Amino acid sequence: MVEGRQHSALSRLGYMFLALSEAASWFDAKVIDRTVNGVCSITRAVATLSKWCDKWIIDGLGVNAPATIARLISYPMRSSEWGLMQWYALVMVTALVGTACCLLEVMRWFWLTIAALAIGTIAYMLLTRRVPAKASSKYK
Amino acid sequence: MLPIVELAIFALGILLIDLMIPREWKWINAVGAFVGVLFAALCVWQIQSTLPPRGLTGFYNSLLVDRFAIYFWYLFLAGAAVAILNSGHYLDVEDEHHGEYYVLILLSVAGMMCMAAGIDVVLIFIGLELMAISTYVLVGFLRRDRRSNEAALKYMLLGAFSSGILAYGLSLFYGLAGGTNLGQIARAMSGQNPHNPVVVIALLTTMTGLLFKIAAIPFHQWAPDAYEGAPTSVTGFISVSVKAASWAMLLRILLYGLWPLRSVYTPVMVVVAIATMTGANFAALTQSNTKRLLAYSSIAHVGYMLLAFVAMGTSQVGSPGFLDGFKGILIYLLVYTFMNLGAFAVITSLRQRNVIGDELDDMAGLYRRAPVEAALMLLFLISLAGIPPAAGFLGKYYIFLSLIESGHYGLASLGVIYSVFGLYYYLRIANAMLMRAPMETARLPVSLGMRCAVGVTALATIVIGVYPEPFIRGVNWSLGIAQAPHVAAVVK
Amino acid sequence: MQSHILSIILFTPLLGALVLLFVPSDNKQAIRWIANIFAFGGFLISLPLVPLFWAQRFEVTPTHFKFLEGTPNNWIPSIGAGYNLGIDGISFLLIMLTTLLGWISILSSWTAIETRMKEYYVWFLVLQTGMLGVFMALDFFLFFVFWEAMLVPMYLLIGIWGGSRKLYAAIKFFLYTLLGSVLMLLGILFLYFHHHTVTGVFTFGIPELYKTAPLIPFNYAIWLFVAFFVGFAIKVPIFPFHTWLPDAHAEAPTAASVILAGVLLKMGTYGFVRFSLPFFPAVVSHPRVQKWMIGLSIVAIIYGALVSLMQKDMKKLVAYSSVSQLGFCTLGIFALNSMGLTGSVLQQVNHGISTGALFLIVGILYERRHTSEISEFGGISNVMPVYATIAMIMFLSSMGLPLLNGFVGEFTILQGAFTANWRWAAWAAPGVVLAAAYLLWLYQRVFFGTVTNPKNEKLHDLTPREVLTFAPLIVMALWIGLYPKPFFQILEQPVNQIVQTLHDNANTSAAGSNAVNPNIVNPNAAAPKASN
Repeated sequence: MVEGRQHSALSRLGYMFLALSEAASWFDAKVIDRTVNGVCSITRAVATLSKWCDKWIIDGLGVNAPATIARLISYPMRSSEWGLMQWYALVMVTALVGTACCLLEVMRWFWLTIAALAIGTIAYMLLTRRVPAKASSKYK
Repeated sequence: MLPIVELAIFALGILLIDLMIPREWKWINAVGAFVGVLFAALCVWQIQSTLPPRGLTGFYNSLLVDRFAIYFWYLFLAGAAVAILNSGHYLDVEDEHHGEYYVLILLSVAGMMCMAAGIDVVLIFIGLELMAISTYVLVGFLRRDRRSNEAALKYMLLGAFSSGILAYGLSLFYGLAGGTNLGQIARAMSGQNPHNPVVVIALLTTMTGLLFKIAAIPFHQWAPDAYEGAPTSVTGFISVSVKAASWAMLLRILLYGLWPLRSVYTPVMVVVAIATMTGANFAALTQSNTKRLLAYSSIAHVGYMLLAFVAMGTSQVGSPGFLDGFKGILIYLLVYTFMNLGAFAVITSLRQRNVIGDELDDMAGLYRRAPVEAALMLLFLISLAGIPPAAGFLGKYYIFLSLIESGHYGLASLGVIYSVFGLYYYLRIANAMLMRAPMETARLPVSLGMRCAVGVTALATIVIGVYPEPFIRGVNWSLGIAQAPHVAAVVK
Repeated sequence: MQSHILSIILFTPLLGALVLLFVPSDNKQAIRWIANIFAFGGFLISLPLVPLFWAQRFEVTPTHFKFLEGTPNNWIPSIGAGYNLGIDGISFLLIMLTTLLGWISILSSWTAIETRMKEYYVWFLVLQTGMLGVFMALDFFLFFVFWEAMLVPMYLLIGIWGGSRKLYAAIKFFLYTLLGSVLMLLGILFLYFHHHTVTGVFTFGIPELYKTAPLIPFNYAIWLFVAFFVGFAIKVPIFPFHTWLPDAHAEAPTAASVILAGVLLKMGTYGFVRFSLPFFPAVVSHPRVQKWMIGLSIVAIIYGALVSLMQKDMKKLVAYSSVSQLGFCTLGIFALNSMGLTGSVLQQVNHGISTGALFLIVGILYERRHTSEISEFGGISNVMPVYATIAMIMFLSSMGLPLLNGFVGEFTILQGAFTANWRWAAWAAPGVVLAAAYLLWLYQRVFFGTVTNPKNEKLHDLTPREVLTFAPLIVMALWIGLYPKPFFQILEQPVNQIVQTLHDNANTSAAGSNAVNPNIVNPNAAAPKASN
């Protein structure tokens, strides 16, 4: 046992070694291990981000959005069926006349006719203040 | 004896018998009609076995019974037979079991046969009107149901409207050709400039009438209402046989009479095909009424067949694209007849005393109430979606094959993507049937006739899907319009 | 007998399904026993194939397929489709995997399914036939029929007996996979027509198509490759086509999950190996294409592992781990060398075994507690020691620990990737680390520690039947891990064949040969002759 204030060279070496190992242990615990834990946290953060991305972007935008859009488009497509037979006949005739004009290359007359008809209908509706397919107020 | 005549005789016979029999024996009418259909099939078989290669002509060269016509005659008779099997119990429940129903079915089949075998524009038109008027009345057969009356009225008015347009177009062709025979028209058209305004207008008006009958967009608006309002057994019948007859008429006129004008009508058909597939598939996605849903699905199927027609129109005669397109349409109509009739048969069986049975919710839990019907309905839905090994795949196969062979890769991709849409709404029905809890757990009573109908169609769907060889040979045999040398190329 | 062994293996499950149809629905014991007998019988019948194939494993046949059945075009001569079956080393391994997993999954449903049992077993057996048919078919039409026919039973299994969001998951699965399949159909039809243009014969036979497909000009071949790619990529699933998988797995009943992960996903990779590589060798060897494929594989490996790290539901975690593992398989395939291909096929088998076991493990807990949330569990090893041990073994196998099967596959794949380009292996290797991360963390949260949830204290350990479902998987895991030589020998011939095809045709690559344009340019020459 070495007592007293006289430290031999060996004991100084010993203390230095202890200090070195304490420093290494501090470095290991605080720096290296923190880095490892940091990498772990970064990985977890990236993983959470990937999970979010998978749910909302790849699945949401890529898969569910087209499906929802397709269903939404379905409603306007069905709205063309008002149940009014005259409307059906009008659609048929318009298609026929439009294709004929297209094939015969007289589209100008076609668009002019459509415009004239549209203007005429709107004018008529405004002048007589009647809107079709709406229940008249007489029949309460 | 011509099956047309034979069917008319049976129809008149049923009319007479119907006057004499009491109410409980009304099923005798059904038996009589079924026997009539069987006899007609026998007549067709007799004609087929002695058929000369150039076909039989009659009525001053206005009727041509060739292989094409015989194929379609068999198809009509099969559709009528299954429809008759389907109708008995349904009409009893609806309390409208009259003999006129069967008479009208037989007469409409007679009209369809004229359409398929007609080589003269007038005879085709007569057949068309006979079929159409019979079906108008059939659609409105439920006299006390407002939807049925409304459906019949709309169908009739729009049908008359389009028949008028068709007659106008055909009359223009008469004027251009100097005769009403399709051969004469074909010869006249091959000398004509396709961009002659009169020709264009004649062609477009004719096509309007033709496309109306097959329910292509934008001439389809009558179909959802008519299908929904009609008695379900009638809906099944008109969705298959009327469609087949209309296609026969379309093919006869456009492939024989107006073939020289294909450079004009093919682009129009492309637009119509794309519009039809798009509109029908999108509109069907959110339907809640099964009959309406199947109506839109029928329109979608017409869209696919129009694609095959486009492939034919843009290919050289005798090339694989042409032949496979032709085969595609014929086979598609065959499998479509059975699978659609089967699906409608199952929906018909849902009609009970207090339940109309055509909403999606009515099908909920069918696996409990009628397990066999539910399983077979699944088979029909799978077949409609075009999934092998059910028969529907065969139709889609030929259609996409013909598109690839004629180089329309974009159209093929589009068609293929739309068929995935189709699966969605068929699966909605399957979901309701198999995966939702039933609203009532009582067994669904299914009559014998209906069971036969479902059984026969299911058997046909499976057999054609798993072993299609004899049916493909039959279609190959019937490929071609005699008297039209360019269409008479037959594959062995 | 030997010449029809494939047909017998193929149709035994279907026969079982037909027999089951006649059993009354309320006789539950009979239904269970008959289903299991046919499933086990199916497995037993496939066992004779092992020595038979082993004896022929190095034999060279004209088409390099063995146990051929059926003459060409004997089914639908008018189209050119024939009932042709045949296997080589790759399909042999996958067929054995299918019969084994089929039996195990039916065995595992013994107590799990109580409602509508008859339909369940019927559809399961039909599914089994469909899967076997895909691997055995040597005719493209037949292949496609089985490929699509298999979707219906799976959809029903998920949609009827599934979890809370079963309807959504089932429809998503069906529509998504169907989209891929129909695009693949267009590719098949093009190949079929091209073959006719070149040889004048209409046929769907795969060995015949092998000869003409490489002749397709590059600008068409690239589109065909894309069409086939979409079909297979959705099946595998490759990022970004993978999102149907977590939903399908999470909502499916346990046995369906096992089959889905164990076999159905392999069909995508099988398709790549059997079809994409030999049909389009020029396209696949093209550097840009290969880079894209490798890139997608690496993204799948890393991304799949990352996403599974943060999952809160065990089933979804294992589902995403499948994405990651199959990323390794596709990496091996597109490394385009024999090491990579061999490792890939072997890893496919390994994945079937280990991920099948993982789903069984999750299923055991699910059956007892009806939840698969990780937070609901903790310290299970105290209550169920046997189960914890088995779980540890399979977790380690999935992770790729040496001595177990996962290591052999992964190592070979990484070796193949390294040979092609060291960077690819470098990017993929962290995937192994991440796999360890999510698996071990899962194990720790569920099994180690004290029992946190009082509901878990009374759970009973594995019954003998449940141990029996794991036993073959553990045996296979150890066998492949310790002595993989037989498997490498089985795979040697087919893999070399494919690599040979790639090398032969890679030289006629991007310059594009002047081969026949399949469009109808000369219609009068295209007089069709349907072959008889």
